[in-house]
Amino acid sequence: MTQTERNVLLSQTSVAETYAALAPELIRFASALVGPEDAQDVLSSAVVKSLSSPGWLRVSNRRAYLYRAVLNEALTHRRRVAQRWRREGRISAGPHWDAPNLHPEVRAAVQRLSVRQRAVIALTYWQDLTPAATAERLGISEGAVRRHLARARSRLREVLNA
Amino acid sequence: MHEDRKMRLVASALVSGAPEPPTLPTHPSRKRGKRIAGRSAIAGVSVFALLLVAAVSWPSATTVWTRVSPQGAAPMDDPDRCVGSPPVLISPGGASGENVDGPAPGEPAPEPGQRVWHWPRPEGAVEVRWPARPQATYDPDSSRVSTLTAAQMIRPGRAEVDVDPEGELGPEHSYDIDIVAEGGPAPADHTANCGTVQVAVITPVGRWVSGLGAPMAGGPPEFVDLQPLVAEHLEMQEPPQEVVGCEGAWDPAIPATRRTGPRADLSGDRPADALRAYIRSTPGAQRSGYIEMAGSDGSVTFATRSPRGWTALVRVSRERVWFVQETFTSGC
Repeated sequence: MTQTERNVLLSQTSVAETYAALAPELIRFASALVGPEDAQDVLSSAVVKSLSSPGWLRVSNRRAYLYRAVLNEALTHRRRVAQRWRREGRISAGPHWDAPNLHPEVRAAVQRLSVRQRAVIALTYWQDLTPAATAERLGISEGAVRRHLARARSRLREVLNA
Repeated sequence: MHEDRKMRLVASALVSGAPEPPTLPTHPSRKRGKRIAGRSAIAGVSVFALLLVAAVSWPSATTVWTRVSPQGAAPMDDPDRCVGSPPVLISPGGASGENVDGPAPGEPAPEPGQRVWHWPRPEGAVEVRWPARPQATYDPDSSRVSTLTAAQMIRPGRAEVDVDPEGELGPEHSYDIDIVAEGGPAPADHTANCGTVQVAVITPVGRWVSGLGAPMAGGPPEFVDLQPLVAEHLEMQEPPQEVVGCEGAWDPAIPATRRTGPRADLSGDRPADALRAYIRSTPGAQRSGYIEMAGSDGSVTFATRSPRGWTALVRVSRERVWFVQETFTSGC
């Protein structure tokens, strides 16, 4: 086995361990952003793109990198759905975001949240991250985290307080 | 129940239905991504082929698509017509420092009578023009069409816009730009576009442009479509005669298609003027991006379409002036 082959093997082992450790939380994160139906596709695409990136081996915080990759893939997914909806909006129903275990009224309210707002809710209230940690995980400013959170709370308040 | 407790329940519900994570690809590489893209493309082509088969009156193979010429862009012919303050106040989030008079770097000079200012950002700028340039009839410069998308949130008295420049780019390019637009003083002149400001978000990866209109009775500013009325010109032997029917209407009583006859009151000196009159009189009508087709009988048909086929046909004819001869649209 050559040194290059050994390096590739080591690299793949490291990737496999990283993915094995993070996959359960990443699939939940993806599910929170796009719903369980599309979560696997979004996570697959995000992981494939990340691992294919020339800079992957230089990434120091792989967890944060993969979370941002999932978020970006979810945004792309939303954009594709929105474009499809705009093209067909006059003759068909709009994009569907699925979360069967939510109360219908809450589900309707969550469906109106942006992907970033869902991301911030998931990290803040499910993983108990501080705004600073959420900001670092998503690669946005702390102020943006607080802004997204405030808007999400404002949108959900109406149905949650009913 | 405390609000945080309720938010935790929402977050828990959001993640609890997650499926099993997919298996890690054995040899991650660009080829793997291409294989996935290839499969998607194959599936997409198959679906598109099915849609084409289902479409009604899709253009035949003899059609020729061309970009329309720059002629016909509406000029701003009345300088200095807006006085006082803009009817919509713009506050870009995250902008550095005060706004600067003049166009953003690389943006065109202001039209006569148009005020322009911008906020520099680390990469790009947020630019405001007042009054907004009137909607062009034809596409004066296709390179300036927006390439970014925006999520819009409306609440009483204000509209918030998140422009997302990322997408196909990597996570390192992820950033967002927020704009808060609030209602200002009522415009002095509604007829000269003084009630609309033009907002542009310029980034290294694209630009987003929209109009924001004066709020009505304390409501939020309204988004105004500034894209050209006519996007493309289509040469074809016979303009389409049918539109696709509505699917999934919430009320079964809603007809699948709607047809109207001649409307002499929807008229103008040019074909596009009659189309504009139709749009003004029809709530929910598409405001831009029409396809223009000339008929052998001298009529002109303006159409919109979806992947399933034509969704609206507005045929205009000329007697003394151009008027709407008939319309045929999907029913919902």
